Amino acid sequence: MKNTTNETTTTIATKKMSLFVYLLFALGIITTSSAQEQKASETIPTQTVTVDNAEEQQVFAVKGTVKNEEGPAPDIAVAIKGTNIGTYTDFDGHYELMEVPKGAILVLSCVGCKTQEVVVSQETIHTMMEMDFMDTVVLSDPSAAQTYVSKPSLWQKIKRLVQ
Amino acid sequence: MIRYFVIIIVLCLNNCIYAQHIDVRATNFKDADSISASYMGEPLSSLPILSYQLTHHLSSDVEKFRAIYMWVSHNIEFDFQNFIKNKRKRKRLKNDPIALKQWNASFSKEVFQKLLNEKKTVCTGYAYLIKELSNLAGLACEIVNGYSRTGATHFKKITSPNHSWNAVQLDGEWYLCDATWSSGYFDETNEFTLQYNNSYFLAAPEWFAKNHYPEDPKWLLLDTPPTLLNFFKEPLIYKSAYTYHILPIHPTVMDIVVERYQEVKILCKAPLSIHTENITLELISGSKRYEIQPLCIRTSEGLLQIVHTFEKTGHYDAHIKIKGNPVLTYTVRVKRKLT
Repeated sequence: MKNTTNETTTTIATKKMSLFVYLLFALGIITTSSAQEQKASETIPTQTVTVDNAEEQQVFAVKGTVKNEEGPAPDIAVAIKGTNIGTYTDFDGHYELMEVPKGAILVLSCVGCKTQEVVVSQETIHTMMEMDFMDTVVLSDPSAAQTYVSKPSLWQKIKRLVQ
Repeated sequence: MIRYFVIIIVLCLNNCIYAQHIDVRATNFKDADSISASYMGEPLSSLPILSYQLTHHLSSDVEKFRAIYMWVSHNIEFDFQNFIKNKRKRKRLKNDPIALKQWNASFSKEVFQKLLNEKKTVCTGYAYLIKELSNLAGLACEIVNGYSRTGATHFKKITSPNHSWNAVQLDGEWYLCDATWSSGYFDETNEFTLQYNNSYFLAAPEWFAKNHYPEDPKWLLLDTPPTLLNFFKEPLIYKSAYTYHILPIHPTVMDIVVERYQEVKILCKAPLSIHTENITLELISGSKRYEIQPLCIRTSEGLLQIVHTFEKTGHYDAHIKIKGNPVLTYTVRVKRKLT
């Protein structure tokens, strides 16, 4: 009789312990899964935004002209922001882009000019490009592989001549 | 039973690691680097598309910036001709601000043309490209103009800024980098070698401030910025100082004067991974050149002390090297008697 009561108490104790362990275990799983959910929710909005742009919106064929201080600006890169769709201005500063969604942003850029962004709301766009040249101070100092060498003293120079 | 506890502890630890702030330089850049390599040789005719191609597959700011930085450092060559031309002209015009401004305007036009057509440029061209491509990818990035020191610059003569680099904001934090110095180096024969060096990619401000001093000291990103005057007097560090994490602490000036038989003690920050048997001291005095293994002591503060006693008077260039790579330079004048 005593033995059996002892046994029952021990089994209850182990059961309690294992229940506790399971609880903790479950807690661990919940926290990790919630962390994963958080990560997932961070990435979702950007995806939905791109879907919105592609499907719901009206598209335009955009024609534009780009000028700078000197007149028509050729070879200006024109790209739809956030895509790899783009073109260049021709010799007269003209460009054409098909199927541009309304509300999309055109990025106009060239090496040495101030980048401009234009929101597409109409079919013809005129843009003035400002050159960056004037306020860029060109500086240059390359990385050198050599270690520092002190200038020789007068005495060292004389010694070198003698040698 | 014990097994369950181990599992629980492991799970909890996992959560903790997730939450910790990640060291940007320790990020795995495999994806960014391979994207950057796949666009090798791409032209600069459309910067928005180049920037998009380099970054749109990458999710974090630091990876996006890495792809841009790697592309610029691997695809743009240093233009030595223009470097010399500009240096001479600026020297000649330094007392004529109007003529200097005109020169800047005409020269920068030429620099941009050459960058576009030949992908060759000087420092400002590198910094410009890093800024443009970063801005197009939605990252805040600035060109920083200032003073730099290398083994080849006679910095005692520097009177105006001679270098440009970048500051970039990633996840709200500002970092420093130098794409010109990362792209390659010049040897004594003025031959440029295109060889990527990671030392200057998001470098720790403490190290960066040893050979870069911005016109606007806020870009030092240090709480207690040194003065420009002190910057020119500090011991000279090389790219390997970044790699091995060696930072000179004392003496704080490069030119030191000592008495014969007096111990010269150089104190540096150095990680424990640096084995003292790899440290050598190269001493050059006139035509004499010898390399010795100095006495190295680990101090109780975890610093490294390099000790040497000069037995002959004279002027020495003292280069501290690790595995043969120069990390620090001091110049030592050894006198018979200090007066």
